[in-house]
Amino acid sequence: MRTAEFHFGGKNWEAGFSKLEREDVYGWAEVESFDGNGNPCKLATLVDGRHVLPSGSTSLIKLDSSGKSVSTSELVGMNAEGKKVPKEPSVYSGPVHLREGDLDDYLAMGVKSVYVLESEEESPFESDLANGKVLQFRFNYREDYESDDAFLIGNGTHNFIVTGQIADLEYLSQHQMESPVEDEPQTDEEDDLMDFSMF
Amino acid sequence: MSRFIHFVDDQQRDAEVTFSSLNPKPKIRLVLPNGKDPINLRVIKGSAETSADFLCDRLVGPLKSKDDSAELMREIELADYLIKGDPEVDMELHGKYITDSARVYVNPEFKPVFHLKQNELIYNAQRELVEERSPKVVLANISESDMVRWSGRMTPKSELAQKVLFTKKYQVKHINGLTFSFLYDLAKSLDENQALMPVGTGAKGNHPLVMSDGGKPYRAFLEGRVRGKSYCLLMHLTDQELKAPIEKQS
Repeated sequence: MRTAEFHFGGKNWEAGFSKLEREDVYGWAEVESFDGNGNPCKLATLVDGRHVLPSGSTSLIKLDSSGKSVSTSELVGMNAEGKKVPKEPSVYSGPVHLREGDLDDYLAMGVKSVYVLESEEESPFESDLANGKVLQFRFNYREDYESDDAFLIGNGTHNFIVTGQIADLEYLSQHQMESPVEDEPQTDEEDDLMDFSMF
Repeated sequence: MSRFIHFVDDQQRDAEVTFSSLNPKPKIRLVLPNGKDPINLRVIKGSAETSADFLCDRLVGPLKSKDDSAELMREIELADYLIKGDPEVDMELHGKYITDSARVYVNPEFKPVFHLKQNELIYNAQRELVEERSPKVVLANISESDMVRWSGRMTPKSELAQKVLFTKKYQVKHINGLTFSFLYDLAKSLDENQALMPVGTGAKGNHPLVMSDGGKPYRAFLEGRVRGKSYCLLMHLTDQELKAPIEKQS
């Protein structure tokens, strides 16, 4: 397994990690669909009310203002101030320096991915993690323009990397209230809550 | 429209308040080398009539036996047709941009099906089929006549953080002065105890929350933070313990 090198408090640890999916822990449910004759059915995309496009029949493309196709590798990262930013390295490309993180930051993070750490060596950070500490670092699986916030956390038997983005929390005062009739745009996250099996 | 959640505290006082998703947006966006935003479009690159299965049936004929070599021979024969005549390309359709589309179920002949029979298969973590049943319709249970009960139990943040994975987060918000006090007091108490409080639905408040119709059930915990006279009340949802898959545990 490919490994990354983690450094904290003068100690270092080489460990590999693999993505943790909920289905690997609890299993999963899937819905089979059949027509009236018992033939299996699949979801497809219908365009213009007449063209049936099976899964994998469409792709996303990016165009410049003249309509020329642009590959993703040609795009560059830009921050909120309109400045181009360099790519940030992958966790595999060099030592990963951990620092003691704040549990409140961990709890304010919108979780994107979870990885289980695996190593033949015992973790030198075990006592820190067992005491409830979280160790923070920047995480990029591959070199990319934006890295994620990441925390190393333990449950007593295994260590995990939890990645995501720490949210900027808004503190509300008495007169800063939510209007009950204000429109709120539907977010992707809310879309994710929809389960097509119900249809 | 704002979305509402109906809370009942441990003294049986209830209030309906709003909530919004805490979903941080990316801080970096990808732009063209000249600094302009690219135009993102979805384009058609195939259709039912140009899929390999459909072309095999139409040009080579139906599969005569279920053996792998028969399927391979059929595909080799199809490859000759593709080289000679490009039947896999629909010049009218391929490359067309899609602006509007619908999702439909289709049968093996790619015909839309409107009356479906569905069967839900449940697999365990060892990938074994454990149950077959009719799909259950799950309805939201957090507002109107449904209530989300505060348990009153305080669990230290660090203890819970090591046990469960909080996969979704919402910020709970007041809608008037009375609900400000209701939420501020709870946030303050949670902040002082550095604790999270489980909340749940049902008469005893021990059932999971379903945030929207057709959604998944989640266990929920409230976390409060206070700065002076302002508060931030977070609702963490979880459907997963922080633990390794079974093969890694052994």
